[in-house]
Amino acid sequence: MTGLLDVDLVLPYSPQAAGDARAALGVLSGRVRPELLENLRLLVSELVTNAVRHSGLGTGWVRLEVRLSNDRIRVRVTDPGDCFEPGRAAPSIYQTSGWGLFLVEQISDRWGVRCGEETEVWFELDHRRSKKPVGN
Amino acid sequence: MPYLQVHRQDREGTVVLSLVGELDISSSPDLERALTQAEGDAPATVVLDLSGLTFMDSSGLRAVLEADQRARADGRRLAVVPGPPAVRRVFTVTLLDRRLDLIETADDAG
Repeated sequence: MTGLLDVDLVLPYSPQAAGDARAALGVLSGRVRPELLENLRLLVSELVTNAVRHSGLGTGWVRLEVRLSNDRIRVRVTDPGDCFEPGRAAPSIYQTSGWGLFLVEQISDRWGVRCGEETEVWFELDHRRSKKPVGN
Repeated sequence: MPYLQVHRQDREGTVVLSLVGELDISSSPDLERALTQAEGDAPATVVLDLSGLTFMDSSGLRAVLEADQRARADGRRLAVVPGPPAVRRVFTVTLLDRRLDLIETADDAG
């Protein structure tokens, strides 16, 4: 992402990283609709949690970058862990895990994974009301 | 400060666990401990009251689903009060509201 970022944070690999990442989104309060901020908090929590869970052994890190533009919020979560192929199908309702990326698929307007030296998962939320009905 | 509190209340044959705070990867072990303890006392019903939660993601969802799986295996009822919209929608977006036994308030567990 080029230009100034609204949030740019590198967190050590720990379970607290998800809560710390959500807390860092507080700076966007008042700049995005509350429902959108709620979606952002959930999806950031999912991606940071995934990075922490899959980042591998030892000392890892996860980087969160958020950028606000006129029409959208773009988020990038990067970690040094192994890359993966994103599945987009709904898990069976009898599965207990695997729901994180399904929430990203359902709630974001677009998302994807980029494999390189690091693993990058990104998503975007548009400022206009989502085309997808999201719960109640 | 821990960001999840789990309060336990015992009624006849029912254990109500009321959660206050945020339920995620870091706090779900606290819920799992409370559930293990409650389930060990062999109540007919466990109620998970999420109305005091301000946040829940799929790590929390997973803890709830695992509790539901154990309840089904053991022949126990697990009822869930799905809490405020930000929490409830995690169940609706995943359609897991169709699998879980959702109730409006802890008193509805009967």
